[in-house]
Amino acid sequence: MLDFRQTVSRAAAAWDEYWFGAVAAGRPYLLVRAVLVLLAVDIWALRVPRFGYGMDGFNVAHFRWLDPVQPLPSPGFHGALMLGIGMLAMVAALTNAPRPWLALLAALYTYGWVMSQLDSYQHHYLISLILIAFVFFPRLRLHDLAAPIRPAHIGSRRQAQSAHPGPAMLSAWAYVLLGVNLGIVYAFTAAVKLESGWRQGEVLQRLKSNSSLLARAQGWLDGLGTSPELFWSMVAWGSVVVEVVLAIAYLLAVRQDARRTRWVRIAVTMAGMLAIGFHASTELVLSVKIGWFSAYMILFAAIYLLPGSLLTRLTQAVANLTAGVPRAWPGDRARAGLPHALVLGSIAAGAGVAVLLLVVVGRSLDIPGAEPIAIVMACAVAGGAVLALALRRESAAARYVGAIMVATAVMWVAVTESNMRSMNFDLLAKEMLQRGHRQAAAEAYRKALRYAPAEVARRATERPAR
Amino acid sequence: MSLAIGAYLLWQVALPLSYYVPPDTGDERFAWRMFSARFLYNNTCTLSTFERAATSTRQITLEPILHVGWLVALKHGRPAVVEKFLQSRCAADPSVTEVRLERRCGAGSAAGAFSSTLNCATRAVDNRREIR
Repeated sequence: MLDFRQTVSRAAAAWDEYWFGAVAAGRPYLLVRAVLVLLAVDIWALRVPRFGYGMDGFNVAHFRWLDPVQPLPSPGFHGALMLGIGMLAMVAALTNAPRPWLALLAALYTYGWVMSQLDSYQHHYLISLILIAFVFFPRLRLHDLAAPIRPAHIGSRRQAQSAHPGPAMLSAWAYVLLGVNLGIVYAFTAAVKLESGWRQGEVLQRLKSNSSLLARAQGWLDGLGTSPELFWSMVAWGSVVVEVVLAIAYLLAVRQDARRTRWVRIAVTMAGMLAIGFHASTELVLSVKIGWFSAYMILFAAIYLLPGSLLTRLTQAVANLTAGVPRAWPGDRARAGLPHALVLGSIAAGAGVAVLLLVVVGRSLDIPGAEPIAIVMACAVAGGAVLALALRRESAAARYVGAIMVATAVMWVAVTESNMRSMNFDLLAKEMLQRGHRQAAAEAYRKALRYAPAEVARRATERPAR
Repeated sequence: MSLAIGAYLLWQVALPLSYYVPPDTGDERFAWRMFSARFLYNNTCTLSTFERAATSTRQITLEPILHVGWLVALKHGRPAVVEKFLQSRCAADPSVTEVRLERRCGAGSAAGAFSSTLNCATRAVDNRREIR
């Protein structure tokens, strides 16, 4: 009986140690910021505009209960939602936004794909899980990473290792849970590849792009007398092995900072490099339409699997780069003893510029929903600035105003440099033509040409008119 | 907190596993089946739709009435999309008594063919797999 109790007690201690033990603080810190920046740019560059929403009055949500209670989605609503989500993500990344902000972001993002099965990318579901986990991540600032964190500063369950000579450590169960979640995802994706279509290499042959890399490898092995079937089968089995290794690596990686065993850290680091190579090669070799899924997975591999010392140096570099920024901000000038009126004036002027920038960018994007959401965001900036100044939160006001200006500029660049507008206006033209709406088709096609890369537009206009 | 973590993990394992439990709905959305053979084969399938009125049956072309994104969803045989589409066809024309959607796939395809028929009056759906 005593043995059983001891076993249970040890298992409970191991469970607690696994989920609530210390991890290098730099990992969750970098992960939240890097993923949010990537997400914002991903949304702005790839997910707007979409004209299929509500077309022909048809829509099916991901869950049956949602259809009767939601209005029919439209391109305008979807566009506004996506642009707004991107803004929330980018501003959160730049300002260390509070948990309710992250919760709102997670909720809106999830609704963004749940509202229609037109968006059925499985990695959007994964991103929802990631954003939900972020809500429960420890909220950290750069100075938290410079020194060991005191338990009182970071909450009751967090265990600091004040005597630890290396990077700042803290308990972050949501970070651990997300890592395990990624391990589960890899395990299931490996299981899929055990099905016959994969084992026989048939799927890979369908996925391979025009890239000559695989063809060259196949040709080289052909020369050695290997059959094409064996080659493709080897590549497929290789993918299974890599994904199983990565599933195990994520389960180990979440404890690597606290472990003294060197082999675990070495194995996890090697798995990290394997993951980066695997996802990079997926993009280079296969013709897969998965948006920036590989970029997310490379980012996760870099932060979860690579050595803590490397990430510490990276966060230090970020710290050094940004060390001078707060001093230049009006909010911090208030602390430095500058006249209050000057500080207030600077923040008000900054908010005015941010509002103007939002309205101008919103009008220029030519995406359904861009203008209304820009006006909503501009009103939020103006209202937020007034409220913050009334509450004498100059520092926060300056930080948010600055972040919104940066985010607006990035949004403009991401949307205008992406070919999504051209592609989707072209798609709209085809849809309109099939419905016999020739005028709408012509208008959409004109816009597709306007936003097409110069070379594509030139070739299209040189083509004889049909 | 430990209980919540355990429950979350259970959900994360059970949800994708449920895909492999019969009946096979073919719905891969939450099963982490990126690049599955089924997904790729489904894209090669073709769709046909037939509407039966009082005296005749006619085949309808889907492209002018449904966005390409929904055609992909129909090719993947997502049950909720198939059902809603059939219902929308019944609603679009009161003279239609029955709507049938057929998916045919190439030889050797793991995706398999199916037909789904909705009786507009009774709302009964008849799903059949592997039509020949």
